[in-house]
Amino acid sequence: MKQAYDVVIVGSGVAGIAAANTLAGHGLEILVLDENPHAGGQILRQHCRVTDGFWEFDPRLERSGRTVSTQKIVQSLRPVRRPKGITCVHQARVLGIFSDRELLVHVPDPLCPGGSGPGCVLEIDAGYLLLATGARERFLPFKGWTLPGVMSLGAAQILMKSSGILPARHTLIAGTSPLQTVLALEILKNKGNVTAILDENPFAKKLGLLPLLKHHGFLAGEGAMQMLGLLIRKVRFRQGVRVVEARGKNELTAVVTADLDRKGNTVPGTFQTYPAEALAVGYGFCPNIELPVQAGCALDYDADRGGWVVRVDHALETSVAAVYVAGEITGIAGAGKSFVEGKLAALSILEKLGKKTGPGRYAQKLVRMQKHQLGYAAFLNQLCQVPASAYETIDDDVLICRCEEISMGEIRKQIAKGFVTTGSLKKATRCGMGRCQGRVCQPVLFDILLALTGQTPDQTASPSFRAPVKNVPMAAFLHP
Amino acid sequence: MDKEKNEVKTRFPLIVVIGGGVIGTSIAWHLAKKAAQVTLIESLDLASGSSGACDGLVFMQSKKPGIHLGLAMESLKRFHLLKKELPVDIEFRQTGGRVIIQTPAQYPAMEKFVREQKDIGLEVCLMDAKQTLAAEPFLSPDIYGSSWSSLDAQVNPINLTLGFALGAKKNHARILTRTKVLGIHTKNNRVTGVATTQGDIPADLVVNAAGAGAGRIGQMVGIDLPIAPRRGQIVVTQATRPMISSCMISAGYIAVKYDPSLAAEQGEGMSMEQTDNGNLLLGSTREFAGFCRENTLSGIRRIISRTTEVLPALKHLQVIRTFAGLRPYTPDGLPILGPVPSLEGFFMAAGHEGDGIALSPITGELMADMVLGQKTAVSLAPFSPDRFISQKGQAHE
Repeated sequence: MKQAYDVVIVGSGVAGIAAANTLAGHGLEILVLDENPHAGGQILRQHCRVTDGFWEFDPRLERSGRTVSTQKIVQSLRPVRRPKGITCVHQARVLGIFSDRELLVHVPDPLCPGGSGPGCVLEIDAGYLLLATGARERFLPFKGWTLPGVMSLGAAQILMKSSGILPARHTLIAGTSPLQTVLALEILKNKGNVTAILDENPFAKKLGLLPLLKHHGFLAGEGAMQMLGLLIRKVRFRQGVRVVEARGKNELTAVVTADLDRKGNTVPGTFQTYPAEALAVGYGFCPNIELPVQAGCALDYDADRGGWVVRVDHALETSVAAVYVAGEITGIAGAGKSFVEGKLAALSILEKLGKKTGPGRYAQKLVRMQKHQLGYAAFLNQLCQVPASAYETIDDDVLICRCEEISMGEIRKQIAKGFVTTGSLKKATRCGMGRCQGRVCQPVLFDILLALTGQTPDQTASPSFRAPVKNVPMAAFLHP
Repeated sequence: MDKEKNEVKTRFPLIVVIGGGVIGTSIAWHLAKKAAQVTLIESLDLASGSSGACDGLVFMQSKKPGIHLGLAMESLKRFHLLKKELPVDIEFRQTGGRVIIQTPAQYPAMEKFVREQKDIGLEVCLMDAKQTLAAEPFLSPDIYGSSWSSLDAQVNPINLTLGFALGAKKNHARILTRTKVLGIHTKNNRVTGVATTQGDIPADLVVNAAGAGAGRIGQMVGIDLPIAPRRGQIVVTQATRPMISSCMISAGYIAVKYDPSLAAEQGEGMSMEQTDNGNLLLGSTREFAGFCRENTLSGIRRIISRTTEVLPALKHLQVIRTFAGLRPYTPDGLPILGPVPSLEGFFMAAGHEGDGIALSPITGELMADMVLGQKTAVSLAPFSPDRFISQKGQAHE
């Protein structure tokens, strides 16, 4: 590893791989950093199991039409010999970004001189920086959501994809995320049982959102096919219900739901109890903005794009010169947008560096594709949204910050005292000051603030993050 | 004669305190308790500057014997009352404190320092390595001893600041956060108001408690005081079981504090405390880096190598956060407290550097008394802004 690179790409999911491919072959020194043991990110996790070498997408992928589906992306991924000039480091965690694109990176032991165990922390200078840090799942806390056996939809998927383990013999699936049906099929494929899918979204809401899919008709078809598959397998399916409690002493044994009215408020007296060994629940996604915030990038709040997203110009450059972003952190819209933006950001960087990038028509086509992909963002994020009342009705004894054990009651109390900005509420409650640095509770806390105060996102103010954005062993700093 | 005129004019003075850190909120609370009409202005959120990016040491042993230590000891007394009076749990604990001696050469120097402290009435004693390790078994066996005072304490600086602010609010103070000062209005060499992003706020008296930013506020009215931002970085570990029973600094810390030229050879020393929550706060650096609040790898490394040298078990913990605060540095290491001769009604209350938390209770009390024209319990003459203004040859009585 060197101390400086022409381009550093953080994240080797769909956007990161697409960008690295586009940047290759121009005589640049490129570093790709990823915190996972393999490339691929969330979507291509189980398809990128070989560490030596590199990945690219079949060039026919982008010629195939106006939009790019996840399925096509997965199918067109193929291993290649690592291009000259590209260095990939896995299990490398970018802990922070200082001025002038200086990255603080925790790398595993083999890369540390004479190291054993905790790895070491290095500073790496990026001529151009491309952040493709992806997204994580969003939660709506309910009573008992911290019980063992309650997990996110994504966590249940990772269990199966990475470790070949079922969440439990019988799994209950809930939330608002379209991952619900994907997970159910995955569980059935692995010979597990799905007790029921408890979809919060009533059929009418889904129908109402369909016009947003005008460029993605195939997705509606895909969804219908998935539903059909589940119906054939006789999976119980309920719509318009919300999980209000997970019960159990030391682990999950039952889940309580309530029916929702047309506005998405729970209807009193409609509780139903389901026995359950595992509950997989998810409420969509939020962008991983810790690193762009560290780099000083300006944010915008847009609920239709998943909350706080990084502000970019047409070339995907952020408010900080020479820092580019691609994929979910400019708006949650799935793999297709990540693919297109990874390419676009790479082309922008090549252009800035005075490299020949082929005909301008090509870039224009990508920009058109990017626009189409954004149409899907509104559909996806509106589908996953819950009304403000869902936050207003969280019981006082529900934990919001798991690390610091801060309850909803404490948060309510401090909001009433006037701590109504993201930063001040964090100071007053310690919510988000624990080991996970707010990765889980920070987006929830923000939604609670909006719901309880009626303020605008800008009044509430975007969150700040300090290095290290993820825990790092003390001993890693003791390396020379 | 002048004084009489002032008193008539300021029977119900409108007071504006600039700065929502621990000093500004303490002054606001003390003023509000005296039923003064006070408005506190903060450009961001409460405790968003140095008061929210520091450790919570209330250390007596680190203070220079003399007026500095005297002030700190007065402040310490008031912490016990604050614990009961403020509406927030300030997590004040008199854990006792230890100055760790790491080289044979430091031993005689500390002997002398301890003697001087004892003379002024500080309860402090010297311990050899064996005694020290008996009290703190996790410390490195390589240390040479420590000085110990049961008076030293720690507090949660954020809670302290929020406590002052909420206490002030209860006493009808107005607190405006996210409000930036744009200028100070004056008439006939007298303060008349403060221009802010939320509009003009009329004021008869203005207290500049803007910490490291106090220099900039002063410049708005042509007052040039040598308050410079000095960056202090801190490393936070995960919460863990009790590892140390008292707060600690190294003998090197004391040396550098009073003689910055020693920083190169002695390093900046180290400080450690374990909070009520179980996190260890490890400090610190003392760097002049302008208004940059970023951490640096070299700064984090220095802190970690110095603290793990003293407490090797730290190596097994995780770093969960780092931060940096801008301590308001003054050339003589003492805060600047008092009226400015060139502008009537304008007071300074800044420049505490790393002592702001420890000195906030007494500073708030004395400033409130002074601003309202009452007698102060401790003379503030040694802290007067005059000491810097006269040096610059500006108008001065």
